[in-house]
Amino acid sequence: MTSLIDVIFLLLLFFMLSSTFSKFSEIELTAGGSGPGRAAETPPLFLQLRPGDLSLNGQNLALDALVPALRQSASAPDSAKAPRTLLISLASEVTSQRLTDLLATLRGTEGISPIILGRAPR
Amino acid sequence: MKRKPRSTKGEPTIALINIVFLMLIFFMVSGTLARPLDASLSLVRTADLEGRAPPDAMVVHADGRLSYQGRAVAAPEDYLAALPEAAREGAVRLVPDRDLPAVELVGIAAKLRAAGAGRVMIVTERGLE
Repeated sequence: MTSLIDVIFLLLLFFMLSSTFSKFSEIELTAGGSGPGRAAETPPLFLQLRPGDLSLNGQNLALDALVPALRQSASAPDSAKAPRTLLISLASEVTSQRLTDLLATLRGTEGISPIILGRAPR
Repeated sequence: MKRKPRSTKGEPTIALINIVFLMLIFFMVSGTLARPLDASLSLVRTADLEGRAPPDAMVVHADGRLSYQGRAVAAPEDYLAALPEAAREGAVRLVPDRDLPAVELVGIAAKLRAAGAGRVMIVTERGLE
């Protein structure tokens, strides 16, 4: 009987110590730059991301107001037109958390292909 | 009349096993076995993305250090070179700290892509809704 408890106790300790309870998810980082330089018939949108707010084509917005603003300027999702390019420029104080928040917001928007502008590799 | 001394019972073994067994089953069902990430790492929090299995990928610390499975990695290209051929073509995953400057994260992703990575994914921590 005692040996049974011992074994079960060992198993319990193993599972308690080795298991994790955090849940993970993932999102694609669309760091552009490469790709065919197609002559777009529509001019690209320009988004500047800052720690507190962002500006879309020079117009200051909050993160919540971004999706409605993008819907107006995005090309229709079922049209044959190429999705409109969205250039994302990052201020130097922007953290990964902030960038991921933006990417998660953009993920639900159709007709937009975001490209993150980075520093040229040295 | 002589009082009969109470027989000292042993500890209730069956009940003990039952409780331990319940805890065992709880931990087996609810936890996921995974290689631990770095303890000092605080992952990016997201809410409404699909879940995925615990990652086994390169960690980018808040100060820009890279590490994989607890060992330091000198350059993003080294991590990519250590991956098998098939994994390189598909999605290459990064686990960034939430305070890492986004410019550095984009720089690392650009280096990975220049070295031949297909898509670069960021692994985040899903908040409990």
